[in-house]
Amino acid sequence: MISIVILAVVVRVTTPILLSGMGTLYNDRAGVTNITVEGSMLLGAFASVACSYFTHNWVLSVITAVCCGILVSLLFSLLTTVLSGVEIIVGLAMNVFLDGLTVFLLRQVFKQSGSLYSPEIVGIPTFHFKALEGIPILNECLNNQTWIAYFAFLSVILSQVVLFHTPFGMRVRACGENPNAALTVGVNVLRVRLACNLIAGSFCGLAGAQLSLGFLSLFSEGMTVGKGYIALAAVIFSKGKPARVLILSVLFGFAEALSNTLQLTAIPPELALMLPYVMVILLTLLEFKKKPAMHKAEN
Amino acid sequence: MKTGMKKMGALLLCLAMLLALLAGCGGKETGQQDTGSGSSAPPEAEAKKVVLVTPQKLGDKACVDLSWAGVQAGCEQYGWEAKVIEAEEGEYEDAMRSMAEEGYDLIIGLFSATQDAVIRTAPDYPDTKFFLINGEAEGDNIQCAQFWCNESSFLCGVAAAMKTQTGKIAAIRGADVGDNIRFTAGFFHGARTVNPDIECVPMIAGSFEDPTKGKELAMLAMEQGCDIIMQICAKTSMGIREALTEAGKDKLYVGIDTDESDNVPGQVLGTSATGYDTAIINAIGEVDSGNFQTGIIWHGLADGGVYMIETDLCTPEIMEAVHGYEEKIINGEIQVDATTNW
Amino acid sequence: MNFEFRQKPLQLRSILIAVLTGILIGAVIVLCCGYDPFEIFGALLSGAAGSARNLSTSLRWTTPLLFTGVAAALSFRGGMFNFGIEGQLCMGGLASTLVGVYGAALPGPLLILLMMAAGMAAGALWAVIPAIVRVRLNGSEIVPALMLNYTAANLTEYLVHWYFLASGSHGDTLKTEEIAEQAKLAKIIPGYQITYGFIIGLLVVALFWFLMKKSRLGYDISMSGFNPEFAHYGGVNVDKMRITVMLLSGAIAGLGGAVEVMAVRWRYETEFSPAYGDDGILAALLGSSTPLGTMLGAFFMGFLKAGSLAVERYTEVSRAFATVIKGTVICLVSARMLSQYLGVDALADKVAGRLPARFRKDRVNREEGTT
Repeated sequence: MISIVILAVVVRVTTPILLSGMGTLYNDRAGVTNITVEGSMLLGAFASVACSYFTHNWVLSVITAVCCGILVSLLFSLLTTVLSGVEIIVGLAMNVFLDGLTVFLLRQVFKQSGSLYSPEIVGIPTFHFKALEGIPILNECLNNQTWIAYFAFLSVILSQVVLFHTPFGMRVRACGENPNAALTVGVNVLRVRLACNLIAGSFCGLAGAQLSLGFLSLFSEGMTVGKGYIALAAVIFSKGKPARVLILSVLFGFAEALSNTLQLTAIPPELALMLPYVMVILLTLLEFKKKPAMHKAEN
Repeated sequence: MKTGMKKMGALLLCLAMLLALLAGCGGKETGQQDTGSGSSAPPEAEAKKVVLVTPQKLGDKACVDLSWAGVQAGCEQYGWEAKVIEAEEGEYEDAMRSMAEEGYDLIIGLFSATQDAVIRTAPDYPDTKFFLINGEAEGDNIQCAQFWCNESSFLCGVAAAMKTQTGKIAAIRGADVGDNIRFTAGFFHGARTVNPDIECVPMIAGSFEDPTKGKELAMLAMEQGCDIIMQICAKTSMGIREALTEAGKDKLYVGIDTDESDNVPGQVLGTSATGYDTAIINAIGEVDSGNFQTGIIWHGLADGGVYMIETDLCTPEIMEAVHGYEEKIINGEIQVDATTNW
Repeated sequence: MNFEFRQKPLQLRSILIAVLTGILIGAVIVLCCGYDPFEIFGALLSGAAGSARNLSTSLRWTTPLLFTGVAAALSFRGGMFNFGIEGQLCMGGLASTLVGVYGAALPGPLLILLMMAAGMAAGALWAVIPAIVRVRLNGSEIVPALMLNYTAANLTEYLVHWYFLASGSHGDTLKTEEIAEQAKLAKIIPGYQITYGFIIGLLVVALFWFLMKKSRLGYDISMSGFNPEFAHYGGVNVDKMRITVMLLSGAIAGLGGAVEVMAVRWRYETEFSPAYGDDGILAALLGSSTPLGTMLGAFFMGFLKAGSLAVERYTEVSRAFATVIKGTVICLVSARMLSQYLGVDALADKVAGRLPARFRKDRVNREEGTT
């Protein structure tokens, strides 16, 4: 029943979760509790489709998506640091706001309800490598994916290097583990946190572009369907390690890909759809132990 | 405590001011703005009004768009004003009551998600007529239209069985609900009548508005070896069409409701059409002339309520077979399956 | 990530500025899209309260928010963040529907009580996992609660589809049979939408007030939320309080589901909740988790919803514009320093005749890096 072709679906479906998870990892390490991942992805998805609709150019669309993600992070920083809002509340409210904004703009600008799907929208091209066609597993994973998918997986290695082998990464971790100590050593905590926030925002925007332009070139109201929160869960369970974010994202991506394949079996579709979420819950119950994690710091 | 009292007092003050503001524009019924389409009625006679309440959004290029097209055509023909309300769960009754209060002459509920709303609203407004599509409700001012869509999809199944190269066909439906099941059952029944060994793959997308899912399922079906896919899922079918376009000319598509012959150029085998628009136009006409029929009316191949639209891909051989079966269904020789039998 | 949540008491000026700015931003957005803001807001207001019918519709939308708002507010007071209200509402709705369908032989009042109990039990059950994760496992209760929301939506759909489906055709939603006649709550004024469910909602708010202001348990809960260390030294079992708060919160959310079924829907159908849970959380945040504030917040959300539906029906602007306003308002409500930056603080101080030294004190706080 489950053939090897599912790997292609897994890679594609994992990408947005992995990408936004990697970005949010920086925030996590720096001690910023930014839960606008969902909203940021959604805005990125919408903006990239809108841009593609008008310009027919996917490069511009991706850039737009990244900019939107950065904008969301900037707004979040503004509201929480300068205007001293509570991070969780602001994050939640911004997700609501962005969901409403995308629906509103969809209806008012495009006069469409539910989704925007038009031949004018140009999607992100996929890479086809003739050389890979014969090789079994590699063909499914690496062939016919967008560059964003490759980037997402590469970003794991990148983040591992940046966070643990560069001065910037050390500053980031210092801010997260003990901001007061970092302050005394001369680290500009606010600036480092802002930088991490912007990184996270850009990754989330990119993830949104992948979601809307990477497979089917369309935007659907609320098309993130909790993926942002699943990415958040991946980061929480990762205990700050990029490799763990990768494993967890792939796990959730696999669950989602599986839920489609299970259609062909006798398993009821609703139970299949529950799979990724139940998996997160099970992981939560298994992961946490009684003592608090080491790098959890107060703001 | 004191700040609490101050807060409470201030909030109450704000509320009072707001209510005073509302009292100023209070009593104003919200029916002032009309989004009617052009009416050709003479200025003295007030144009009759019809509203379509739909649980699924417009822009699906399928049943909802077809129904709305029917409403607009009917209004054009009889000089009425049209309105459409896209509503969500829990709002249908609200919407219908508001429209009835405003004196709408005909309220159309689309699909049996609106069934409850029709049943609960209709008795309170005996002068308003209610038309329910794909649902069942009884009342002196209610007419229901149900469609034997399995009869037309049977014919499509016949064509599919004769056209398939791999001997495997799929039907992707949005949910396990009434007419979806009828479509699927008829399709497979028709296919099996021609070829008892044909493999039929039913799939459920779980949504009528998720094109991504549609594409994934279509790709899955094709990877399983299906070369003809029937869609029964409104907007989700956009994804199915994209998957088929990418797959190439040897993979075929069967559409429903509205004429889908051009939706996947060169790859559409046929459409199991449903006359939502005709039924609506008739209903408007009936209310206009004062002969509104009540009760549940089933439409099938016999009265032209459902029919198959063929394309060039249907060879004369196929068409002969289809016409043959059509006759048999109409004169009752064949009873088409209406429920799941897989 | 730090999900410790201590809700700071909100100032009235923050709320007022937030609401006004939210409305302003809504107006600007509408203007940018080429519509007349006065017309849109006029439609919004009259749709919310322009006639007796519309008023009763607003109250109908307020009713479930009274329950979810209190559920959220209670959890906030106890220092927990019950993000899972949506799921608890759905489970409570389904559980009470099943009792209402299968218990048709029972007399009215008894059936209603049983339905409410079933709803509360199911809601509380759905809050167990997040409670345990936070208390016993020291993890964040937010993520499991969120996941449980999605799980509940799918699980209820599964149960209805395969076990409790009503006979006949269904359109695009799956639904159960209708509950027994005697379990349906009557309308307060015949012909209008408002039912006794609204009264029950008000009762719940009153009970919440009584709990927090007048009872020992309420005091313990407040202390656990406000200052757990202090509560612990005072002899309060903080862990037990947290679990109690989550379970109570879940129960109230479940009760909200039950009342929605009894009052309006009369059966459980998929897509049961149009974001009642989220709106309830927002209402509680708006009212800074006080009983009165939450109630007013629920009214605000309910009126906004009714108004936005009217806007969608009579103008070309979609209901999403109310969501935009909601999001803006909550963001800004939390941003306390906004009033300082807008100069409102200085203005308020002048008006109150206080010394400018107070202004300086706020500045010191900001430099310390504390929020």
